Amino acid sequence: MAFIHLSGAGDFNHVRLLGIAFRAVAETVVPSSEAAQLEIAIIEACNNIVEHAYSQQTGIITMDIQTTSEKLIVHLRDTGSPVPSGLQISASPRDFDISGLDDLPEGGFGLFLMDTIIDERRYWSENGINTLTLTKKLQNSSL
Amino acid sequence: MQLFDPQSVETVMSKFSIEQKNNGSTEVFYLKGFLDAHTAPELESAIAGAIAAGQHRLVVNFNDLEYISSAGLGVFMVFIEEVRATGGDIKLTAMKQKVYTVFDLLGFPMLFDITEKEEEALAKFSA
Repeated sequence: MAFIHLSGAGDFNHVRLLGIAFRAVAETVVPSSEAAQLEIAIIEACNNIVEHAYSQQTGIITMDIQTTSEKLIVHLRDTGSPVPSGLQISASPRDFDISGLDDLPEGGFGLFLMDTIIDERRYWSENGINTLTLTKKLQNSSL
Repeated sequence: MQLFDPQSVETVMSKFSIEQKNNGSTEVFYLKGFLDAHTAPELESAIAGAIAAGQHRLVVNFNDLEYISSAGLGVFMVFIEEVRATGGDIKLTAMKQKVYTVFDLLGFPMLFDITEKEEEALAKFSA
């Protein structure tokens, strides 16, 4: 089991750096191609924090990465505005049909990407701290 | 194993830029860096400007784009209906695997014409 703690300013430049750092850690437990996909999910989650939680204020994003023989778990925390009840939870990976041009959304793909890549996503807000936990089941861990 | 690639950090900090080339009938956009919610408005403005100038045959070259987030991808959704309604299109080309993965995960290859090389994208407009 391994545990890594990272933190960075809640802005887009630091999100990119957090993504690079996360991917380096992820590549120790999953193939590079899978780590790249997980990085996409992590960056989308962090982007949401910057765009929404920290839209009216500045703050820090903390990222705790935990690996076991079975799972890679990422806890993302911020102290910004919490996501309104139901909004973060309701998006399903198949909520929209992209096979046609009618009524195509111009946004909202971030949750779709996360749910496509990650096995489990949980979000809650407590005592001023918002926590998003993303869990990926591992096939063959090297740790 | 090198955990932190200095070149990657340098690329991250180079942010985003767009170069445009017009060959008369087609506008080609060359993207570089990171395209996300922070930089997407720059691309949106560039494409809107080309359309306003009467260009509806657009090619977007991703060769130097390191990353695209869902917000960046949404830019193309803003314009695709409009340009196709006037007989044009937005063709996407020269994506790195990491960028293509984002499009692919969302099923966008069904919706957009994506080619390996810019010449192929341009040729599709000539066909």
